[in-house]
Amino acid sequence: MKAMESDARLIVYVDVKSPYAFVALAPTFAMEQRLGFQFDWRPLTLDIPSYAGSARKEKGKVIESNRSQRKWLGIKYAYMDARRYAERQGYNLYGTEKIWDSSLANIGILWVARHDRDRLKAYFDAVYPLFWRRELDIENVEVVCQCLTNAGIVTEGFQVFCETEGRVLHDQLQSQLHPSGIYGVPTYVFEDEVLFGREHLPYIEWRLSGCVGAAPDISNAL
Amino acid sequence: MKFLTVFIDFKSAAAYLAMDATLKLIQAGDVQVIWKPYEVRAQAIADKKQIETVTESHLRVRATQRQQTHLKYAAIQGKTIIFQKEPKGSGAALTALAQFDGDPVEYIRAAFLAYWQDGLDLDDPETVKAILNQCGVDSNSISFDQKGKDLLVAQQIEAEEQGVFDTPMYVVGSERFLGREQLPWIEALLENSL
Repeated sequence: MKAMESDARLIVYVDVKSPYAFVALAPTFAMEQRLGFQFDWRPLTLDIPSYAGSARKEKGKVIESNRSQRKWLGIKYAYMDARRYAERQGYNLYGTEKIWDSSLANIGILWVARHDRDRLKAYFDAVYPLFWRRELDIENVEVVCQCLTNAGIVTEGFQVFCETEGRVLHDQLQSQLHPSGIYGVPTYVFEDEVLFGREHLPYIEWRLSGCVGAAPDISNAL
Repeated sequence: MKFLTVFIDFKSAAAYLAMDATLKLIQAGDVQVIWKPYEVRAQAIADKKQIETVTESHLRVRATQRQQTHLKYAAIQGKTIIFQKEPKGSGAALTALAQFDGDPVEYIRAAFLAYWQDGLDLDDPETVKAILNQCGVDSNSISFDQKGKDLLVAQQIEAEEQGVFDTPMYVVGSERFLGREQLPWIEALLENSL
């Protein structure tokens, strides 16, 4: 799998542990429906400590951190901002207590894409809202299996896939991302463009639907 | 009447590209706007090294992509935007904004153009005085010495106490919004239509 190549006209990179990816799902799926063709959804497992520092919380209090004050302001804002959009979409979004390893849940995206692409939205619906209500241990492969089952997706072979081919595919993809100009989620890749953030959806839709009228500026849908 | 506070820095490409849409929003409604300075950090994009840590790679790729995105939307808006290899400062221009008496929009527009179109150093008081004079503002009324700098620092601290960390940051009541992509929500808040 090549990071910038796909048979689909649009590649969408997401990570289960990203609040911004969570709130981007609804408008991106809505755009997919309007355009009438399937996007190629892929995992990007964020290495958060490498760019945002790390912290550990217990009972809502930070007990360990190497983040600057400005970085903390940015992170707190990001959660607050994602939360208000999530609430408008009818979801709860609670800040995480630790930085999760989301690779298993993200390998699940590769599994669904391979076995039952039409149920990808159902898989996301089974994972994201629960995770962001702190009700899902996405580091537990059996929990991820249960999400697949809840979404109506076959799970036979999934655990082996996570340890073998799925892990290899996932890791090979991650190593191609920075060299391709991809660093965060959601990222949208199409033709010659790499765009980070759902605020680009108006422009992407304009491009993918034939560039009719003036190009739109960035905007978050309400 | 509603109140909107907008924090800007002239060396923020995002703040520059937000100006037209922000002014359009303001003109459309009964909104009183307070423009405030907030100095962001602008660093040169590091050259790609043969061996990079994940952090170095992430920061370089992110900065490069952001710059390309700004260039794309500047073209869409029909604006010139020139990124300098080493970003110039904006301290003196922000010091002036911190002391501005009256509507600063013409000055803000001129300072943004001076930075992004003409590549001027807005940390140079003489450059900023020329911009002020061009906008019909008596530059002698602005202090660029320690007193003026202290005022900017005080406003910077006050902004961070409100949770400001980047620009353009919009504050409506107790709500903060970063970036012009948030204008639909801000507009709805100002119209009480959420």
